[in-house]
Amino acid sequence: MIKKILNNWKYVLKFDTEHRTDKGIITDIMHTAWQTTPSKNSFMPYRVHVIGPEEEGLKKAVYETSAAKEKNSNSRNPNPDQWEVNGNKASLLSAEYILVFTPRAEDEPSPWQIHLHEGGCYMDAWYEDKLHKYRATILVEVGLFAQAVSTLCLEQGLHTNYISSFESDLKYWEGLDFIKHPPCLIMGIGKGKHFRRDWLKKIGWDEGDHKPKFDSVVHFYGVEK
Amino acid sequence: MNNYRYVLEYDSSAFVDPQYIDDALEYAWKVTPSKQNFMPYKVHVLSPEAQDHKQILYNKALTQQASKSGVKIKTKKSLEKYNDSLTKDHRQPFFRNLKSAPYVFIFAQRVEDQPNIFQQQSIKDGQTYCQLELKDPEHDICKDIARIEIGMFSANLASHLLSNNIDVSFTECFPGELHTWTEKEFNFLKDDVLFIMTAGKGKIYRRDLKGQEGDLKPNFERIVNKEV
Repeated sequence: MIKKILNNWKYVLKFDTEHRTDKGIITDIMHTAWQTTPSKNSFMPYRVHVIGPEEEGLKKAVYETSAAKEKNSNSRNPNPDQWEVNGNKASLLSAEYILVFTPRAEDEPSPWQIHLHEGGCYMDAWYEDKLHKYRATILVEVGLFAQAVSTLCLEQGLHTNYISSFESDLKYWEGLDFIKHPPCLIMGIGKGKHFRRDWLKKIGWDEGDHKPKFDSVVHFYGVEK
Repeated sequence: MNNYRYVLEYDSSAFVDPQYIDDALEYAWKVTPSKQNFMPYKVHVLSPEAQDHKQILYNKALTQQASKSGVKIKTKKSLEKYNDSLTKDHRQPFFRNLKSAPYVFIFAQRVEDQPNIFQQQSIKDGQTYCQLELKDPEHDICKDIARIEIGMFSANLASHLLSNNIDVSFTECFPGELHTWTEKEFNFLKDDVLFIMTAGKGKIYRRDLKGQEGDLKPNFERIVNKEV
């Protein structure tokens, strides 16, 4: 059942801006993702900022961080102005909801975390200035949470996108004063209207952009195949 | 994922049909999306027979924990002494599940050396990809992408296994750098280790231990900001 649902995931180039999702559905999805996503020492060392359908200005500001990354990156090219910002990132402008994931320091540790601390464990996740040392854990757990959101959205007939190419320096996020730490992932949510795979098909590239073969990604050791 | 419970000890006598493991891995590979379709990671699967590997993994994690706690481990004997002291004080690490897990998945970074046709064309057009780079800083930058995508892959792998009543647990206490994986048992590793996951039938679960009531996750409102 879940396989059938997840097989429906496809990269959205443009979301349907007319579509409105019941707010209760989004709240329920976020709550279920929070409830079911495990976390090392139960820290959940990240915060998910949900930008709603009415916040056009904020969505544009998020998009600008992604466009800036592309502009800055391509400025090294001798002909920098020839490249338009790609459609994958522009999808953020039509997304109904945008999620921005940022690291989060724990300032209200649980009794268990205090117990661990008193037992000699050092807690990088407690300190704002040590969060960079906890980045490896934060990123894997953001991936776990984001996948849960995606699965639950697909179950509701909604589509999701992931954007990990954007300027994370806070100077690019000044228009979003609730962002206190450099973001690590952006997600777009809504009803998809145009999909990347359809565009690829249209230009004759539908077979050319595939993921690596299974054997390139999974290696069995001590298992006879 | 509602069935997820952290396993402290797996039932090593319980049979886990390898077909379930194969199916779950193929499922996760198929449904997990990846930025520009690179999947910049490799999942090394240790079978129930690879018992020596699992003891070494446990020792590596234990050494890492000792180091983080300021305890110096220089010899095998000092590691055993540290382990004994934890056992005596009832402070055995949760990652002791590594020793009894029938299956262990080691996620490592992977550099793509066979870009697909679309990627090849983009490269010809001047595009650069950190997923193809062996050297830092690009190789290091790519770790961030790999970690998020490993989280997504492992979430899908876990969902499939849990739906077949196979328990899973995640481990993040281990040394990551490839140069620390010098044992001949791990000579298949070609890049830094980023994440470890275990699977099997659970025997003892963390939530069943006494004194765990205080280990709650942060409230929903502290994780999800819906004020905007």
